[in-house]
Amino acid sequence: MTGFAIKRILKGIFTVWCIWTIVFFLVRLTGDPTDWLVEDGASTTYVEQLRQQLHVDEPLHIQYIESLKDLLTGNLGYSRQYKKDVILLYKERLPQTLKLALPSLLLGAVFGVALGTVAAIKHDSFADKTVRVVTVVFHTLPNFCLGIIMILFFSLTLRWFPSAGSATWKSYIMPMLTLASGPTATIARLTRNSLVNTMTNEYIDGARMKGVSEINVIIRHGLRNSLSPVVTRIGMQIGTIIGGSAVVENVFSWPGMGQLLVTAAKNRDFQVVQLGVLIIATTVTIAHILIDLSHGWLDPRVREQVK
Amino acid sequence: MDNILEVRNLRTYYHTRTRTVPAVDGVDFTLKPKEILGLVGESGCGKTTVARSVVGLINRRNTKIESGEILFKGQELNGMDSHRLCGIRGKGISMIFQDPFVSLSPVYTVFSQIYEVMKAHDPEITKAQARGRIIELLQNVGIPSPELRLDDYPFQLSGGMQQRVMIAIALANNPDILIADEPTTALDVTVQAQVLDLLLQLRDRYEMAMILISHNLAVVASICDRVCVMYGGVVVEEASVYDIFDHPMHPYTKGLMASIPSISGDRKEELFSIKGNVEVIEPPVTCCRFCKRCERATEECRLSEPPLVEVGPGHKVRCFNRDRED
Repeated sequence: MTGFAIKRILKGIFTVWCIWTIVFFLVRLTGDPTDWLVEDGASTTYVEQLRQQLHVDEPLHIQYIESLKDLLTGNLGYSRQYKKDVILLYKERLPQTLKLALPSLLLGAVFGVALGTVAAIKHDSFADKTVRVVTVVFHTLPNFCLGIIMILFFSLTLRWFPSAGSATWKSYIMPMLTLASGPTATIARLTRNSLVNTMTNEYIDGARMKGVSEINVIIRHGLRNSLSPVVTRIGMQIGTIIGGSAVVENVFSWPGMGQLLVTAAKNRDFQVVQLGVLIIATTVTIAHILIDLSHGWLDPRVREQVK
Repeated sequence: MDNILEVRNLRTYYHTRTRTVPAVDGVDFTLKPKEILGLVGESGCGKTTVARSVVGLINRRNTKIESGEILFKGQELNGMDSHRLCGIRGKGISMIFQDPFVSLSPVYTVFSQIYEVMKAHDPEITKAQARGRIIELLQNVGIPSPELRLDDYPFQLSGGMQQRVMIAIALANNPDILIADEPTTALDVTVQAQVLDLLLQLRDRYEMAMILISHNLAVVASICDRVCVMYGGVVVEEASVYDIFDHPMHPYTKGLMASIPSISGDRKEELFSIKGNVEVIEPPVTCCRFCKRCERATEECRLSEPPLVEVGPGHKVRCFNRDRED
């Protein structure tokens, strides 16, 4: 198991490096950052000076090697736009995003599994069909769409929740629901299908024949044996939620990392974009490593194979 | 008390969108304490459905017990509330299934699977208390060095060992009745004999009655006391195991006997088989269920269903044209 974990972590580091490299070149494809930093009609000498300061006058491969060195020594750069070290910027913004993303993930996991379980038990009933239809709607509805619909309805018409900012607990409701909607739907559908499948196994009748109550048969045998795909999906939702937060934070003017990242990309604030992508890539990679490890923990057969 | 289990006029139907399949259509049988009753018949004759109806293990979405009484020690099981039924499953009546590999939950160890059935009927029991009993149980079902097997998962055991674990689970609470649904079909032939021997031994040690479901007459002959031959959802012949093998009276039973290949027979001779397939007859049934495949069928057989009549002590046959020469 440890050997497997180490291999997986090394692969993960490679993945993160690849993503960082792609983003490094991608942001530089968008053009010269000095365009946005100088006013119209500034002298060419000033622009040249600035380009030298930003090291964007050097050939790309030199820039890349320098940046990589900086990254490895922990020198993550400075944001021209915000006049701050990039790392400090993320120290402010990242907690704001986590405050939104973590509860959303939890909400998605709990409600997804609960709805999926109810649908599976009442399989083919009205409840099941309702869950199936509603989850398709939320699964396909894009975040920005749902966000705007919510603002129109709950902020403008009903005036229940503020449409922007993060001032009170009320500000959390709409962005959280928007972020959680997709994951809830996906997790619910998967849990339902997985559980319906598991419940057809003979060991379910075997458990019933032990005299175990139906609720315990469903939890201890049904859900427990359906867990691997569900845990995988929950882990993968971490990526969806972080990606989604870039959109949702913009819709609800939430002062988090997603909003920062979008603004930075627009303004060619290279260092900010690079670190943001690095954080997201690392988080998602770690989530995937944990998913892989969880399979060994959840299923003794996988543990045996890995040995 | 005479009979530990009495099943009277049991009818269990499968309902699909387009039709109704009478999987079990009026089955009666009784089981005495310590008796081994065999339910025999080909696939689809309703033998498994009978067993599953008894313990309420039927898919309620498309299967319904239409009528019948299932009396276990005088208590009606048909329609019993699920809480009381749970108290009987695994304690009064246990069941083992055809394929042990899919009947054991893959993610729990041998210990926790056996502990679960003990805990279900004795919430006070601790793991430490259960340990000794579980080791003894595993010894009784013939698992060598059971202490070393407690933490194994089902997939780490061979098919025969898995079936022994299933049997240990079934016996954990000293049941009155053990229902064995094709307990040896999925096992190697050499292991089959061992498991059957074991079941016989355990019947004596635990003093329980058994219902053995099988399509294999050899299996039935080797351990049963009494046999019910089923066809098309009804019992066509019921007798002691000696009578069934020595004087089968129903044409279907005779056909089954004739289908056993003889080891000394002429190799050029074609093997005997009963012609045709099991046919689903939708209720109400107005003919003998076997008449289309029966060589002796007469007009009478096509017009009404023969009743199950007692022709000798404990020997019942459902046929108008049964053997009368003996």
